[in-house]
Amino acid sequence: MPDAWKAAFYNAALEADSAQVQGLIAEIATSHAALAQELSQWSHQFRFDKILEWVEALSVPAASVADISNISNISDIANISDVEQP
Amino acid sequence: MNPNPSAEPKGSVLLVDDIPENLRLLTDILTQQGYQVRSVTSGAMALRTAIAKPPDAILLDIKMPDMDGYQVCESLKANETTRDIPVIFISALDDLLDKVEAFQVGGVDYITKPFHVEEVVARLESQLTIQRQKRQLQQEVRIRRETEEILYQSRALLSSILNSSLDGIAAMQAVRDVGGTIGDFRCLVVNPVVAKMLGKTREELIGNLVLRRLVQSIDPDLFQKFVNVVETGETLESELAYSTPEGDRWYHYIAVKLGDGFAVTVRDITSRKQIELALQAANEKLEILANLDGLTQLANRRRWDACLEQEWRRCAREQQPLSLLLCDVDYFKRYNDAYGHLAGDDCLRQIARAIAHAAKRPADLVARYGGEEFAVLLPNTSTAGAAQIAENIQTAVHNLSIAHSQSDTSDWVTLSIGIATVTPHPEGSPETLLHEADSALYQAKQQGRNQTVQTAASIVG
Repeated sequence: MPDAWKAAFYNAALEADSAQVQGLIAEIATSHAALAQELSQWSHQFRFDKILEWVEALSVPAASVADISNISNISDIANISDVEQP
Repeated sequence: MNPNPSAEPKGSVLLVDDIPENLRLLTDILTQQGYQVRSVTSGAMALRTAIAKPPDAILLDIKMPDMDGYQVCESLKANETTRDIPVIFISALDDLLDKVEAFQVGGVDYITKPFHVEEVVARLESQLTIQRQKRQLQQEVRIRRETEEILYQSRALLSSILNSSLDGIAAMQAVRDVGGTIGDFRCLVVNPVVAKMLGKTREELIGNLVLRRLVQSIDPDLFQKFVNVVETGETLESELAYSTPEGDRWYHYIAVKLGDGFAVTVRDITSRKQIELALQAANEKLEILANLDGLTQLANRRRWDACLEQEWRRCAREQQPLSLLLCDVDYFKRYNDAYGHLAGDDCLRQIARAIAHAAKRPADLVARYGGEEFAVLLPNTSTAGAAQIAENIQTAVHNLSIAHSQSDTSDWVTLSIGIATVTPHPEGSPETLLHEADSALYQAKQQGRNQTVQTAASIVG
């Protein structure tokens, strides 16, 4: 994901702005179909906390042990399209 | 922000509920009603988003896992950014204890489930109205504080200028009688310089009707001049001088109409005036020195030339006779050689005094014409009058009895005098008169000195 998209996406999630979040997901719908579907589901469920977590993990690679574990966790989720709902 | 003001959103609301279905329902309802709605499912996320972008109001579910509504509310109230956002609790629980706790942690209202949409909107709207009014009030308070600050600063500035100004500054308000005539002025503002000028304290002046009495002693016309400034609106700029026990003081002042009164600025120009007066005196002294002969204190040649020209024209205009005497000290070079230059100078001084004494009418002019030559100009003087003065001069010099061992004509210092008199013609020149007198003097010398010769041609103009 481009850094600008990540920054905008993070900001939209932080402000719990559904419309903005949906708009940004639409931008990646073709390139990352499975991921877009997952993110869209979170947005519909108002789980902006989860979205923030996901962006944070992408943005801070190898910053700390905790973050590394987070990343592997999130990338797993991102790679599997039919993840169970939380 | 909003492109269409008529469609301005009613306000932004943050919904917090752990059940997404509840959120969906309320989100849709409130969005339809025109609110900007944001929804989150946890207390932690509610706090994050409320700090990131504070909403106008928060609808908060009480019963949530991890962090319940009370805790969220407490955290919101503890944060500077979110403490003023009104929190309305929503809960299925309907018991007194919960309501009390809801208010204790800072909630402003309480909605119980199941609820009517109208009730939610009404409660929300009333909180938003309060919020808007509160913000408006805060804005007004802020503007008022700013205005007060500006006012305070301008007052401080004014007072600092008034107190530190080297010029006197005062503002006066007209006090009119029933007929509308200005009877006196009330001092509104007086700075320390003005107070000092008037010999009063500021407290004695401010608010009091003292101006008329005070300016009376400075200049009796000054009060009326100030009245004129107020009545005509014309600025008055002038100087005044008045005597104090410490000496004369000079002031320059400008009075400008101000409302029904005037503002006046006064500058002490005493030192400048004193310099001007000293300069004037010095100039006068210089003028005198420039026209005086240093040795004899008589008029010098420069002054003589100017006077001769002037008297010639005047006598020509008035057709009055003008007489001229040229006096030469006989054998003066020998006197100097015999007695020395100091004695020579002293001799000239004595003769100068004697001649000046003999020709002492106000219009008469005695000048040192050359080394030992003196010239006497006698306006309105006929040949007879001139002869009389020449005789007086001869007598006076004779009476000086200054010994002169080297003179061929006498044992004393003597004079040869040539007289010319003319009633000047307007087209003529004083040169002719001088020439006549010189010829007469030459003749007197030729005839053996120590005598006076009056030219025959003198009678001619």
